[in-house]
Amino acid sequence: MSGDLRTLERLVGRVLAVGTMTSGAVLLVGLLLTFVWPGHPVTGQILTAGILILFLTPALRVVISFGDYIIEREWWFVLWTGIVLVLLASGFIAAFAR
Amino acid sequence: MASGVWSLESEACSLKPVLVTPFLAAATIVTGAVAGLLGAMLGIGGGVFLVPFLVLVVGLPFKAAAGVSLAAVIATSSSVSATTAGRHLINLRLGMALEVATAAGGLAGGLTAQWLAPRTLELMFGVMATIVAASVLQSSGKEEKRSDCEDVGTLGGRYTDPTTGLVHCYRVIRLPVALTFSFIAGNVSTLLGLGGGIIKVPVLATLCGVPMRVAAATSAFMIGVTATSGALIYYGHGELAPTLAAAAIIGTQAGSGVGLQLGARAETAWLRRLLAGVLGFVAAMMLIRSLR
Repeated sequence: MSGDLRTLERLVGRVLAVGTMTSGAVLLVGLLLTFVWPGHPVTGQILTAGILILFLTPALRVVISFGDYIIEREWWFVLWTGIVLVLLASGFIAAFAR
Repeated sequence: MASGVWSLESEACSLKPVLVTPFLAAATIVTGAVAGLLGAMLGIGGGVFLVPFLVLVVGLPFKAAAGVSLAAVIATSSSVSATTAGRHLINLRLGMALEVATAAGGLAGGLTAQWLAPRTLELMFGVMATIVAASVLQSSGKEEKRSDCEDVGTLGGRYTDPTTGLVHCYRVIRLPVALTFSFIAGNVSTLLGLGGGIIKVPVLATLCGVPMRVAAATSAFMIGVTATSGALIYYGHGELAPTLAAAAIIGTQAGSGVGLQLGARAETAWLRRLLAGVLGFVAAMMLIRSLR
């Protein structure tokens, strides 16, 4: 039980670390290009990609917890994380489907 | 109500992209680093420092500042939690349970923010920061410690204090109170561009039996989802300036790494006094601006 909890925690930690570093690196490239290459459409796309990775990182850790609670058959937590996922998904659709 | 109509028009004008010079980008990175540093130490997102900088120093409209700040808050949350995960400081179950309330509050706040005048938001920010500063000072040193490890309930847990090495066990009490304040925290978070930890951490620590350090780590963990649900709304409305957001995010990521190292060693009472002091200052600045 406590071993499983630690595995989930570690996996969540790793996802957050990778997501943070990736979005940070992409945004740094985008920011530097803004000054090197002002007004170029690619810089805007790189910045958007970095911001999207930033937004997806916490969402991804909710997905992982959701899957873990299903495996553990903890239905209350499946319900809780499921609601959070629906809320986040509707936010993503509203923001990026425009 | 007339001011609401006026502000919508003025917002539309002020949404022209701010010219981001290398100097402004550098200043935003530095401020982001300070926000991330203090945010990581105090278990808050750091938005309470970024929003005033962007509004008072850079001269950004309030909503644009809130959008950038929320993006930076996500970065703080992710990088702080990447480090604290596995140290038994984050209560994942409690975080998940409360996240329903913060995410719902966050979405509601993002939708409300679109209808409120910037001056109203600034006033709310000032009042909010004042209340929290006062409550944080009041609760100094009143930390409940339980050593009964027999039955911690579904949401309770145990953690090892990094300063003393002692194991503390705790039960989560008054869950409805925690849920209610989490909803409010989520709402205020999106409206004002904060993480919302300044509401959750004191409530969890003083009313719900959660030790201060666990409350801070769990709140920082939840903030990523709260701020994402809010930031998505700002993004969808084109109110998230990507260049400034990038600078703020890069800064907070660097700052929060350092803040975590310092925060683990600092005394909780000292952290509370620092939080109250900074909040008091920021609140005064925002109130002066909104009442001008």
